[in-house]
Amino acid sequence: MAAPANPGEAYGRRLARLKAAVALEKPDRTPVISWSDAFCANHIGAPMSRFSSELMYSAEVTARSFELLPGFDAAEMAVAEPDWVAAVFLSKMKIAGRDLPEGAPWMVDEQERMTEADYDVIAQRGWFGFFVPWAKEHLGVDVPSYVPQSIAARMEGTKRLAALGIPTFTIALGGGTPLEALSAGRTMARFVRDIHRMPDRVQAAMDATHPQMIGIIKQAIRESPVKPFSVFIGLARSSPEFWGPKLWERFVWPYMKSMIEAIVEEGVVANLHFDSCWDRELPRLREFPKGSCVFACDHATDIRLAKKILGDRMCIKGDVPSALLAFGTPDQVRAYCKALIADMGDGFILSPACTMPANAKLENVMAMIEAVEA
Amino acid sequence: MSSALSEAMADLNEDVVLSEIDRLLGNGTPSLEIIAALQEGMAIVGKRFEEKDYYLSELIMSAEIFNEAGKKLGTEATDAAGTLGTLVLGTVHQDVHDIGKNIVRSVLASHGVKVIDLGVDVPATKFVEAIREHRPAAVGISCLLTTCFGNVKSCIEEIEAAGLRDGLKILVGGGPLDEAAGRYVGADLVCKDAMIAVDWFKTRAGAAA
Ligand code: B12
Repeated sequence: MAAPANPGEAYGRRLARLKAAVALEKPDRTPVISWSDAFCANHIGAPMSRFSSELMYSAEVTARSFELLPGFDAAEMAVAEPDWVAAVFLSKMKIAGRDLPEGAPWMVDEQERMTEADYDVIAQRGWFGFFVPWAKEHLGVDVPSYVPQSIAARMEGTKRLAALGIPTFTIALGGGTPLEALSAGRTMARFVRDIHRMPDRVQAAMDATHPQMIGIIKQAIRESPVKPFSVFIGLARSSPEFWGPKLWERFVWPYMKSMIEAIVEEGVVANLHFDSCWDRELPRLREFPKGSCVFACDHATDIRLAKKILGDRMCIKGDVPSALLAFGTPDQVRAYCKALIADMGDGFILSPACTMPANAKLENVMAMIEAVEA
Repeated sequence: MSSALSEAMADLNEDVVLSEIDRLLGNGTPSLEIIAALQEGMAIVGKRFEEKDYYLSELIMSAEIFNEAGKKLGTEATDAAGTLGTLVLGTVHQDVHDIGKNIVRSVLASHGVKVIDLGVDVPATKFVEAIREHRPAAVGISCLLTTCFGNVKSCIEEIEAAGLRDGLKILVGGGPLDEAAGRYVGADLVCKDAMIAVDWFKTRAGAAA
């Protein structure tokens, strides 16, 4: 399929639709977007090994998948970076061709790599003083040489998509809470025990980490040659499903609040990619300026409840279930999406719950895309 | 039975749990009695979870303490406490999600099920071997990835091909694994949470009694 006759015009039309949804205004129709990672490789028949290990190739494959699905209004991310995704969780990734047979989806290899004593190292040296040498030693990731490669691939991916008239919805710059990385590096069970046994040491590490993360994200937004549409804040283990109000108020909320505020201050949309169930704390999200955030939920949060509580404050994105996309029929997908669109009204972006499953059926993806047409 | 121990367990007070166990072992209290007290505490944890006083992190913490306590008492004692039967449990091949599986392990153990945990990314052959060795009442397969539903299906098929399916209950669970997926993989019971499995073990024991 060739690029559209006028990619600039198509890009503008799609972007306007997304902007209207985020601003809680009335778009010409509900926007539909997707974070397609491994799905892209399966979709166009690209080898999973290369897709998982070569950044530039993943940018190329992602653009080719979106080129074949021009109904999407944006690609959520322009590249897939499995090794990096694992590294920010203080973990290694097993990938096809390197650690797994060809075709196998990547697997996070989460182990207790971070020690109790590392909390104190982080508190003393700050996050980067800890992470950069640690990642080299424990994960074999050389952060200083990785980051420029990653930026180059993201630029390349964004450019390729733009040439097809497709905006890139978000960019991940490490926005989250310190809890996400620490609970993965220690493993969830160990981390929960740490929180009970040594809460002050854990908090000291968080307090040393967080301002640095905010600083680096603000800098990255300012230095970016093209201002991103939104900045990704990915939370899962920070969800209220895991923590009672008391622990959540102490170990999650202050960090997520200041992170969101910092991003909004830079004039970009905060993409609240919140996995697991957030029902209990939805009212807290009303604190952020109207139209400054997108609440993206993964089918564990009650999306209609989110609409009721947050609908007049922020755009909501979601939440076509993974199992439906992978194993449902096009009729079932269409029915799910149509009902959702009707109930969510304006200020809504249709998308898969979290990522497009690697094994989503193409006819189901098409049904989801077509559901936004009247 | 030690109510101090049950209480400390319910309050997730690890230090008190461990020192109380030392004290009880010191004065000759039988291990099974100590486990019963711990189980009573775990039942309170479960109740607080249902009442939303506790959340997943408290369930995880209770599992950690229960495991530590189990180490003090020795496998022989904890095995003997598995009066409701045995469960072979694991996360399916190519899937590494284990937070839910670990909760299932401790909830079941604290209700008197002996759990053989095979870990994550478990190939079908390992399930088959473990079933041969432990002759469990049920197998629990955790799976959170749609890309791995096929692996659950083939795992169940291999169990069947090995001639081990008769009289064996196959329980599955994990966020996106719904009833339709349960039918697709050929499971007997889809478990939205650990308590469904507990109920199954209890009903079975009741029927046998
Ligand atoms: C935490 C998490 C992770 C962590 C896992 C950490 C760990 N050590 O487990 C990390 C970051 C490693 C991870 C990685 C990935 N993840 Co993930 N992850 C999650 C998340 C947010 C929460 C899972 C969780 O722990 N829930 C809490 C526990 C307690 O719930 P549970 O597991 O469902 O278990 C309960 C019940 O289901 C039941 N149960 C479960 N199993 C069993 C078994 C039996 C026998 C019984 C009786 C009961 C039972 O009892 C439990 C207790 O109540 C979910 C989203 C979600 N809302 O589920 C995504 C999710 C599972 N992940 C997903 C994906 C896609 C991935 C990745 C592929 C991401 C990527 N693109 O790289 C990788 C793949 C890794 C791999 N190959 O395994 C998708 C899967 C959907 C799909 N397409 O199939 C989900 C659903 C998010 C989404 N909507 O897209 N993930």
